[in-house]
Amino acid sequence: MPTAARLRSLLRGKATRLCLALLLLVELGVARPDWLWRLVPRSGAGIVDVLETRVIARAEAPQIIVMGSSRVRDALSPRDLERALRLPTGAVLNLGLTSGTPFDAVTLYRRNRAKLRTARLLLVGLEDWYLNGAMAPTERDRRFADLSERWSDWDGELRLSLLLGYVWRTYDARDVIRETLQALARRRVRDVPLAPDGRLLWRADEPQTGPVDVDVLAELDGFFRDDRPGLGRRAQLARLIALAQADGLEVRLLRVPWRDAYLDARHTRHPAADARWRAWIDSLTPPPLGAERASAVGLLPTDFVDYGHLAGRGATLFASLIADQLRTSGWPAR
Amino acid sequence: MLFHSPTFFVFFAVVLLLYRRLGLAGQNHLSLVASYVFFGWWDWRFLGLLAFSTAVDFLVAQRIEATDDAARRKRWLWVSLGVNLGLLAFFKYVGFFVDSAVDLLLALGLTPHRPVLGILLPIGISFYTFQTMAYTIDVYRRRTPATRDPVAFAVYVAWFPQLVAGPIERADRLLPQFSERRLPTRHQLGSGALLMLIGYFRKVAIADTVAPHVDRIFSDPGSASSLGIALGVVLFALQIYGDFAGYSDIARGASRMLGVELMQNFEHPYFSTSITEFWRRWHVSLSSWLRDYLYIPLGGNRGGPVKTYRNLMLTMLLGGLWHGAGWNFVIWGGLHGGALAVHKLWRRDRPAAPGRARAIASWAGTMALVCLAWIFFRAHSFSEAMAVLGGLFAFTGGLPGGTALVAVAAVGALLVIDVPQFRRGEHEAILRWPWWVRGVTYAGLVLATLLLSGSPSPFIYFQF
Repeated sequence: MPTAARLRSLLRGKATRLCLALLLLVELGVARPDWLWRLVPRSGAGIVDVLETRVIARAEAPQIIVMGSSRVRDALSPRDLERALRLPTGAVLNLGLTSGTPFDAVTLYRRNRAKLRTARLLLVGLEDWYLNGAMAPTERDRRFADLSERWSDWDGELRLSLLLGYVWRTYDARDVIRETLQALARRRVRDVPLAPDGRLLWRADEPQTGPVDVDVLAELDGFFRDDRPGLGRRAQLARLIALAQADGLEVRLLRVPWRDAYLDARHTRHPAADARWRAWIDSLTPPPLGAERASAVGLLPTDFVDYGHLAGRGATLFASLIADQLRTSGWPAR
Repeated sequence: MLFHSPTFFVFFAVVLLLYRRLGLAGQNHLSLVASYVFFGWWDWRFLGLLAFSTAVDFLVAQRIEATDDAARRKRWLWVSLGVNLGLLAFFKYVGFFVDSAVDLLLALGLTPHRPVLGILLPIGISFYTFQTMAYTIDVYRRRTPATRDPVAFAVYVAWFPQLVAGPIERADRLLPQFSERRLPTRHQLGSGALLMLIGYFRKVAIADTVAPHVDRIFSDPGSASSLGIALGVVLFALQIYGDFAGYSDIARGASRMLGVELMQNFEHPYFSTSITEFWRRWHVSLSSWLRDYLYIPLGGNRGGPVKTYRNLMLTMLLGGLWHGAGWNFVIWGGLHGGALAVHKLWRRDRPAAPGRARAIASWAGTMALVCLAWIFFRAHSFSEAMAVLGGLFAFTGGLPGGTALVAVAAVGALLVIDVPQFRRGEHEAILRWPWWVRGVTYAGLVLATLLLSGSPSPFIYFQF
């Protein structure tokens, strides 16, 4: 009997059929329905629903939308920016989220386009690790990416893993299932609180200042482990910009400063990644808002809680810097 | 290409589908190409090294067989040993020997320059050099004929399921399998797939799950209590078993699905009641290699007790050094060598006594020794090992609850697989369970492996 026939007869075995039936049950009952992905608010996938139901849905007339990573989330308090730009309360919406990428931004924009297209300005934060093609997909990539995005935005092993997840959603959902089981085991699903200014509040407290010295290497080396060039996040960013511009929004890119120590360490420990980042930033027209080096804009090491998340005082300074830069570049124009 | 990466699944599926359509020559050519693609996926630059080692032993074996002149045969054997051990010495041990020499000179008060060598270790070199050497030695000993088929021999050296971490196969077992067309039976396909599934479970659900706890304790033993360190050591014992036995299961399963049987590399070593039994069950392909090609040529147990103990010690010291170029591996080997010698001495005048209590005590003693020795194996340096040992014997209390829970779960998971296999004496014992139990077990293994998997992490033995 040829091997293919043997494989077929093997799959006809009762035990194999039961196994496949159970796996199919998990696939159809757990991994494919959307409820699983939304169940744990603090999960990478569930946070999107928190943003949508508790932040975006409640926004009345946003004029400035801020999107990006947790560094963007922490760096720009909507109230600070509204004050600095003399905008009414609620005019700025910060949708930054942990490990946020351009894919999250374009996904949020697409899903909430009716509301977000009413804004006038879209600020999108840039991160150096967006250019690392070895950075693993997030839960949101696995939840929302369609087949063409999985194919075009990724390469090598990660592309294969995303294609596998597209066919077999249980594979995509494995982290979410694990998080859900852990939450059920604890019998407690932790919610994500919101700051009074409408941002997600990830930390228990919002310190005004941080420590003088921190170890920046753990994060840095994590961002650039197995570093290799990747263009997927840039392609996602281009899609976001095209979509927002088609809706009449002005789009400006944004850099949130890092501690000087982080930049120095990146330059020495990951020179290729550093050079790639600089080349990208230099190629952008107009240049991104914000700044890269903390000391260049008067930020102190104590204005950060870690390698690059701004504490309260630093965030206030940064908001006024962005407001100045926006005014200098002629915003608001209408 | 890691066994538990999506790339491997695609690669293996393609090979499996093409394989069945081919005749003997086609299967061997495909096997060779697939093996070189698999190996080159890590670093194509070392493909030449693999081909060179293969060519040397293929030709040398023929030269040895072609003559009855003992001196010429021995010269050719030395060519093979020189080339293989030379490659191993250069790529694996030069840095170690240079560093050790510099340290010695520093200890003598000299100030030598420490050169930066930057030699990369080719993956799997310890395994395939031992495999090719075994072939040449066996031809020299007239235990196996030299093959005339260069493709079959190249596949024997590079067979991808076992290329990078064994089992270290013998030519008389593996080579003949490449001289016939392989048509996997339904049982081979089914039991091969089951073995792979068990291997993935051992690697991903057990070894990789406990790894972060082990890393935390070994990276900062000062902050852990003695109980916490003891738990960390036990967890490492589980990790390395899950990792290596898992790899061996996947290798055997994948190979079996292609119609090629590989030897059993692990026989439930943690059920051993003596250190001698442990080495009959742990990494069997290496321990039997060391026995046949090192211990017995050194004289084995033929020269009286003192020489036997010396030979045991030498074999285990070199076995330790085989694992890694570091003094901690030498010490690990030395501890096992010493324990084997002591056990041999102990048993010389005392036959094994029956009794459950005695067996339990023997098992506990054996495991304690094995776990203590693992400290040197896991530590990155001698000083790190001493720090762990210092913390272990400080006798401080406090059990980390989370780590204890992980340990209980890992032991339970291993027992679920190992106990039925051990009791039945066969690795496919699950196949004898009722169909509905098997079905649920298969699905459970798949889901547990899937849910506990993160980014694929390399197998520990790849570094050797």
